Amino acid sequence: MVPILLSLLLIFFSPRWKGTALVQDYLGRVVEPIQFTVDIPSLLMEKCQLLFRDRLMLLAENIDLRQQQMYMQAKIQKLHALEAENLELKELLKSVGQETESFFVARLIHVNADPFSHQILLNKGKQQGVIVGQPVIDAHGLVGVVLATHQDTSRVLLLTDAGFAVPLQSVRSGERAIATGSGVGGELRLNYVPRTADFMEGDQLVTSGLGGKFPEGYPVGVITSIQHDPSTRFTLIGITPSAKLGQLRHVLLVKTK
Amino acid sequence: MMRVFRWWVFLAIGFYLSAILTVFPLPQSVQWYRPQWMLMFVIACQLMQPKLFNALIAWGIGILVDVLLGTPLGEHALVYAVICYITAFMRPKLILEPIWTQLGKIFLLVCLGQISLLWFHVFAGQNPQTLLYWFGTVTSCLVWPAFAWLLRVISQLLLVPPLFARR
Repeated sequence: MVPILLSLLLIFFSPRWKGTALVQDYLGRVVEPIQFTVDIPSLLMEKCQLLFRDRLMLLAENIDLRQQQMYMQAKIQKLHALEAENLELKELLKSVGQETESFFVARLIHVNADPFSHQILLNKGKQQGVIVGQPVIDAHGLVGVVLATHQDTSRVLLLTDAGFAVPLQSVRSGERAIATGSGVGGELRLNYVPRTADFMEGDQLVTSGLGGKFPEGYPVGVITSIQHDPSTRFTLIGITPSAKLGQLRHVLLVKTK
Repeated sequence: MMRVFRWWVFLAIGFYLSAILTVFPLPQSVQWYRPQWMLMFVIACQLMQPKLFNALIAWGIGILVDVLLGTPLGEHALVYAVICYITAFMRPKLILEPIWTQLGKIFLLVCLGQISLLWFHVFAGQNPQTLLYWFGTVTSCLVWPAFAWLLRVISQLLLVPPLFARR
């Protein structure tokens, strides 16, 4: 009887109780060794792949990466000019200046979480400066948000989880809406979009920065399906995430200054 | 005293093993076939040592599993405690029965655990929308004899004396 009561109390009150994070932190220390043990095979695999790589292949890759870097740097040159221009225009409009962000890299720990919830585990935690609510991106777009931090690991809620929501903006029309994860099939949905809203298939959607949780302008996904159901008041819009969620190895944690 | 200490060592080793099996990365397509290792560990412990294992310990294991899997605190704990309690209730008859009847009853226990977990998830808006979910119960049942045998071997290696006193 006692354990049943205890767990019912926990289920109902732990989301509201301040000590939950502390308890989870202490219990996390017990659990962390298990997660690191499970990660060893994939870590070894990566190391072995690195060890047995051909020298010529590495050289070719190096040249390729150098070219890519040059290309990116050329793009950034233009970006700096654009950023300056943007700032100037914003000042003219007397609006708030854009915040600058910095990143740091974290590696995925290959651990299967609960198959119901879409979560991943990173190898950076509280000690490395990860905080709850921090946005996580990969090279292509938004990945999710930090849900909980432990000593040396942190748990990230992917944007396809049913409990995830992010305010978005269409690049083409500037129309805004809120997207939530669908929980199945690696997709997001736009909620409560009136039928007259200007969304089209193929529209690129970026974070709008409203709400203050996510910085502005990171790509989230592309609209892949629009259904006008006459029986409902809203349009059903499906979004495919830009981030390559299936092939994640390293991700970037965004730090807003 | 020594027996209790050895039993706790066994619990730690068994928990570690089951936890590794629980979170070991599997491809998305076979995810649902993963047996309920931790639930089987709780059932096995209750069957092996009814005097040294109880629902409160099962609850503690459940809390650790909640942290391990990132589910809301108390979810697995409640399920494990309830299953442990029912197992304790069924034990006197269960250990006397032939293996197939035992397997059937363990199937029912794991099924009950799966149902309550599913209930929690649907409550939180995470419906798996696939019948593959129930395959976890079937695979649990298939690996049960081997898993129980392995746990028994470990407990014998650790010299935890088996307790066959039937109440």
